[in-house]
Amino acid sequence: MAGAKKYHAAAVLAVWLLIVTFFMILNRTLDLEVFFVLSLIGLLVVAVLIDGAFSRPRYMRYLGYVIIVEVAIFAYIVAEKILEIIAA
Amino acid sequence: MIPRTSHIILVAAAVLLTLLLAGEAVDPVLYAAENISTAAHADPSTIEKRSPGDAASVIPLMDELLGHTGTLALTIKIKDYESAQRDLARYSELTSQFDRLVVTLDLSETDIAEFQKNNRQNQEAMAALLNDSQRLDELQSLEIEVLDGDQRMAVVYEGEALRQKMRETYTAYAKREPETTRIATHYGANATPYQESVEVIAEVAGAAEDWQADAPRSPLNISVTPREGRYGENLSIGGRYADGVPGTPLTIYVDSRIAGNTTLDENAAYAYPYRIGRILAGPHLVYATAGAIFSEVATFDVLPAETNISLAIAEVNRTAVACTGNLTTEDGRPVQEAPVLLRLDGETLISTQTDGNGTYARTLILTGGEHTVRAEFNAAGYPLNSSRSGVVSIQVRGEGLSPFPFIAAIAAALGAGWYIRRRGLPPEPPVPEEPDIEPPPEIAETGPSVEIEGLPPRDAATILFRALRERLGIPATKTPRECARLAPDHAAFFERYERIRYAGETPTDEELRAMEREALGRAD
Repeated sequence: MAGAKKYHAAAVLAVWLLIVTFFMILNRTLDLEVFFVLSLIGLLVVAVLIDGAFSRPRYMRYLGYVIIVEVAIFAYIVAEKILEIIAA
Repeated sequence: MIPRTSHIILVAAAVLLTLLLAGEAVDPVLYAAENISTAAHADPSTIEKRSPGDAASVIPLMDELLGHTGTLALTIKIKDYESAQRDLARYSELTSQFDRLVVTLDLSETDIAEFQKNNRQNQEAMAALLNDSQRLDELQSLEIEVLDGDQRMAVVYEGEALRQKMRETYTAYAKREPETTRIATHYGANATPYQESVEVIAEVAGAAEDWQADAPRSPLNISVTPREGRYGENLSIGGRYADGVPGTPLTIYVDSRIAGNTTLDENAAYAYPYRIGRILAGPHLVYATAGAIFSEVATFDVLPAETNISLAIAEVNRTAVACTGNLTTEDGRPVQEAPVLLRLDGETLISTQTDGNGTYARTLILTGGEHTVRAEFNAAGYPLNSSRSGVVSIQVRGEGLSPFPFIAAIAAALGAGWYIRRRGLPPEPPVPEEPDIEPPPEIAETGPSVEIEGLPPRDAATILFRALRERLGIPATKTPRECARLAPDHAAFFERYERIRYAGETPTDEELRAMEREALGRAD
């Protein structure tokens, strides 16, 4: 049962990305930055939901590394936007 | 089983996504013209196919419209204003009907649309002519009643303005006649009433010209030379004041607004140079006053002129560019104090203004990358036509790569790593197995003495537990259960204490004595 959790998480994340893509296409606004931020939000929600209270499986550690990298990219995007606003 | 389900979901999602993207790439129109679901998605090009019956009513309607112009012009001419109002209302209704038909049948690209535009203007011209004729009649009766100088001049002035307006209306109406007749004839409509209406309107406008003929002449006369000019040119407004004394101040009005002041010279004449500036193209009225004396009303025409706007861009620094240029008329006169718009990247508008030499300058702060700039002059309120410069591209270097985003990214990564690590730590480190801790050898000598006399039984038990734990050398951090595991020989003592401590049981005196013996290591 515990092993299935990660597969459920992956499927939920894929569905989330699909929904995001669908609405972006519908709205004709394909924006990589927005897509990335929404995917990060999905990943964080999934990570919080599958994280156990008493055990820490190996995949959670790997997920942590992914989150660290994505948060770093997110911070880069935010900082760039701030610079753009200041420059405008 | 579950991994397989997940794989199926993932593959299905990937296939669906690919199909969505592929569909978008091949045919980017989500709503087909023929297959509309709501009115908001209606495509006019498909409407004709769905309502072919409306097309048959276009020509009869054109016929009716042309017929109405003749009737309306005649009723205005004979000053039957009530009938004219009714005819005009009917004519307006038919015009709106025709407008709707042109839109419904999507005829906006044909000469029917041109006819529609001319007809709309004719309808406006008729409405204006009717109002002006009525007002002119009122003024004529008013002029007979009013004898006071100031009011009389106001009436004369308004009459002159109306006369001008009617003349203009007629000129525009007559100008549209050949094209409208051509289109009407092309479609087999009867244009005769319309052609007759042009002649009738000419008579109405001509009648208006005569109304002031018998007005008494003012001692202050006025003339404008030349009678027409373009932007930046000087006109001379001048005349004589028959009864005036030299030095009398005069005020010159253009379109009822003070244009300037001048004085009479020794010959009782005056001259005022008027420079054509920000004034609309077309006819304008001018008169002069000397105290309570009003001059007659003179007219002059301002002709529209073409303009040229230039744009040059120079780099100021890594992020700023200077946009400069000149706004001049076709004959090279600078257009002064005129608003100029800079269109950045085809969207953003930045406004600036020309100076006295027709030159404008504006510094723009831009982000890195290629940008396009175009200067535009919209000519609102000027007797000039709008103009646009060419599009100028500029490559802005930008401020270079800022370290800030990288620092932010590293800081965020470190922060996220710390948070995840901290969050992942269990609340208490797992209890290390301590196989090396052997139960301490039984100590033969008597342990430390404890005093439990007079204490409540449960407190006494706690003191005895601590004494035994100390005697056995077990760390004070261990719980009774851990102590029982570490010292199995005294497991019964520790388990009993656990029940006293956590289950709230109260030991009897007998038990306390037995525990004291065990805690202190007494054999008896």
